Amino acid sequence: MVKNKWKKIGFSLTMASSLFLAACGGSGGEESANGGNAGNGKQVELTYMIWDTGQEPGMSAIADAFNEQNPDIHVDVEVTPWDQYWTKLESSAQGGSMPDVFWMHSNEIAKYSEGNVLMDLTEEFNSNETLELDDYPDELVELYTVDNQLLAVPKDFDTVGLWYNKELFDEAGLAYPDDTWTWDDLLTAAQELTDKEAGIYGILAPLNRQEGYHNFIYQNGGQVLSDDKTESGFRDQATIEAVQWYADLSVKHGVSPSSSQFADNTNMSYFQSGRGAMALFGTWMTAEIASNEYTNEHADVTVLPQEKERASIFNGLANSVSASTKHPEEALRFLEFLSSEEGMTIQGENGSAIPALKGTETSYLEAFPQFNMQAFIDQMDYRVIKPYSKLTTSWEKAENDALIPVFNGTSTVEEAAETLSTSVEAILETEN
Amino acid sequence: MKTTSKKEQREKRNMTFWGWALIAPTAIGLLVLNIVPVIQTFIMSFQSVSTFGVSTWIGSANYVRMLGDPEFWASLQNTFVYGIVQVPVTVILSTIAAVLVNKKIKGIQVYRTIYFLPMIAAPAAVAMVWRWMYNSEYGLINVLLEKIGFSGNIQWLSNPNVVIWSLIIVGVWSSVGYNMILLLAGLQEIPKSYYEAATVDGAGPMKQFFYVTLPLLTPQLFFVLVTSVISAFQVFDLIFVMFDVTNPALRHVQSLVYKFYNESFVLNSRGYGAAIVVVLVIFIMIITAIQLIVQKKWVNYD
Repeated sequence: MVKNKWKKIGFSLTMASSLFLAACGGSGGEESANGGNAGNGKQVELTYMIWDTGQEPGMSAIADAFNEQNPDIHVDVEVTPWDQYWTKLESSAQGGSMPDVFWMHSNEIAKYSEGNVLMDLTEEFNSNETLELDDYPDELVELYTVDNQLLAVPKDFDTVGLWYNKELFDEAGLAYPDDTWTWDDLLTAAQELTDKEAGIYGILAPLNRQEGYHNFIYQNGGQVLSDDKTESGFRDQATIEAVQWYADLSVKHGVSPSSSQFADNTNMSYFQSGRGAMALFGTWMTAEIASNEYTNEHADVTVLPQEKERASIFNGLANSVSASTKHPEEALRFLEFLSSEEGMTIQGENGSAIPALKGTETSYLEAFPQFNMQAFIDQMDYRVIKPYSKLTTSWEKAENDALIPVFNGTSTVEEAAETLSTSVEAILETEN
Repeated sequence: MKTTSKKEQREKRNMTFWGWALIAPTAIGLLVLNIVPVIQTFIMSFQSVSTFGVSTWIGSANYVRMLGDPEFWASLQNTFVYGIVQVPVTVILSTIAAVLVNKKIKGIQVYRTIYFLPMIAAPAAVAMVWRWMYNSEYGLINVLLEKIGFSGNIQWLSNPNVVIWSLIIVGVWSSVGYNMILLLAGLQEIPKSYYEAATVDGAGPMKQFFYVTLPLLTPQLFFVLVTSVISAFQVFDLIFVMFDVTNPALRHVQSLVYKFYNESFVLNSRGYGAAIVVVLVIFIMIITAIQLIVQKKWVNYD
């Protein structure tokens, strides 16, 4: 009796695992014949892999427009969340089943260029009559050009703006932030807006680089990495001062929630529940702010405040083509469409992101008429490319680890700077 | 005589064939999906793996690096603390639960289902829900604590002294149900006559539990113990979802597998990640071996 029961359990476990195996094996069918166009001969299937669900409608709209103009090609948009995207892309590259066209990010481009898995697009641009590389932001073209090979074409760009809650400003009787603001104005306003009893904070300043202290570093004339990417910017007093000023918003002035409060609630949840009057968010968060009923009505955005200079961290995604794609010609045709005025405009109108192609930026403004989106575009005049090197994620983690005690209030930036620069530089050294 | 033995032989061959055929899917799966990667991981732990699988042999450098990495020691300690607390609590609670749902009460199926529910939910979803419940300001737990008079306002997810306990609570909660089912199966195997005999001998419910139930349940308890230890040492998804990378308390809760994930897939040092996992496997093997030796002293097989 005893044995029988255990055998049964064992058997069902075996069955379950073989079912699992069968399910794993089932996803192989790549070359699915499209039934709809059987009469016109074979239709070529392309996969376009992206990571942002917020941008999916825009990307699908581009694919649809392209499918319509190219009945012989069908583009399938596939969304894989950021957390799994790079693992999946890398293993598919190793397994020889990469998507034909996919998004590329500044953190990863160095690795992918070393792996020789991206198609060199230089030739395509040299021979193309309508596309000119000069029409895309130089920093992005430079970023995605490795060893004189263009490995990805800029798709969009983003900057970081100062979002604010109009309702809270009105209640406090304060004027909305504008392009005249300095750091002092920000702090003064934040102090007036903070109401500890009601749990309302003047500004939301979590330990965050791109949507946080990196902007302030450049506004103060400091830098995150030296120009030749061998030294950490934390050897520079201007950098230390800026980060300390930013961390003090929560540590010293208490106008921002503390780091342990941010462990429970994100800055976005504070902002969306009306408990944060100001916050730094990048362009890519606009859709989320618009999708929330409260912030859609009460929030607006302006340019970041200035100190010694003006600065806003900017970055941009790009489209890459797999070097091993079975349909290089068709994939390039799709890439060309993505990079064209038409494709870029569709992207902007759908509010996916600010299109990278010069002259199409304004299409993005129409997507969110309720917000002052022009602020993001204005900041392109003093943009600073998001600091990057070959091992960006590694030194970003080192920077994080070193700054956690600072935002915790148990250390100052001055004290953390030496260990931070040493560990960042050790990582930078392994790059060469 | 001869004909029967031939027939027997044929039958035996047939049985062998079908035996192998039936385990083939699992066996092949095990080989391709588990055993080959294990060997590869072991080799990788002596390598520096750069982009897309290009790797160079660096000997024991990864292990040397591990010795000097405080983060590794912290995560090793966290993993041990988690295992030492979570496993006994889980085993005790699931035994109690199994005994309770083994009673003949109306609607017992409903109770069994409720206990088993956490097992069905995806770990990421479980972690997400607990993250909300742990929220220090709006979380259900702190609100309830306040209602009954505690106003500690516990920082479940950011107080370095508390976080490991928060994790253990979720770990216990999500594994009690599964172990309870295994133990319940064991309980139902125990013949009723033993209890009848014990009652005749004048043993009360407590005595019956300790002298009849527990000894006869030891094979299942042993199985539950071994699998619980292994899964406790592999805790990852709860940490991954409940704690952000900027969380100041992450260091006090991250496990070896979390550290492995971070090194391998976020920071891209595959070789170092592999070395961490090899150490973990060795620990699990040692502990399991000890358990297998010690079981002779306490497990009753009838």
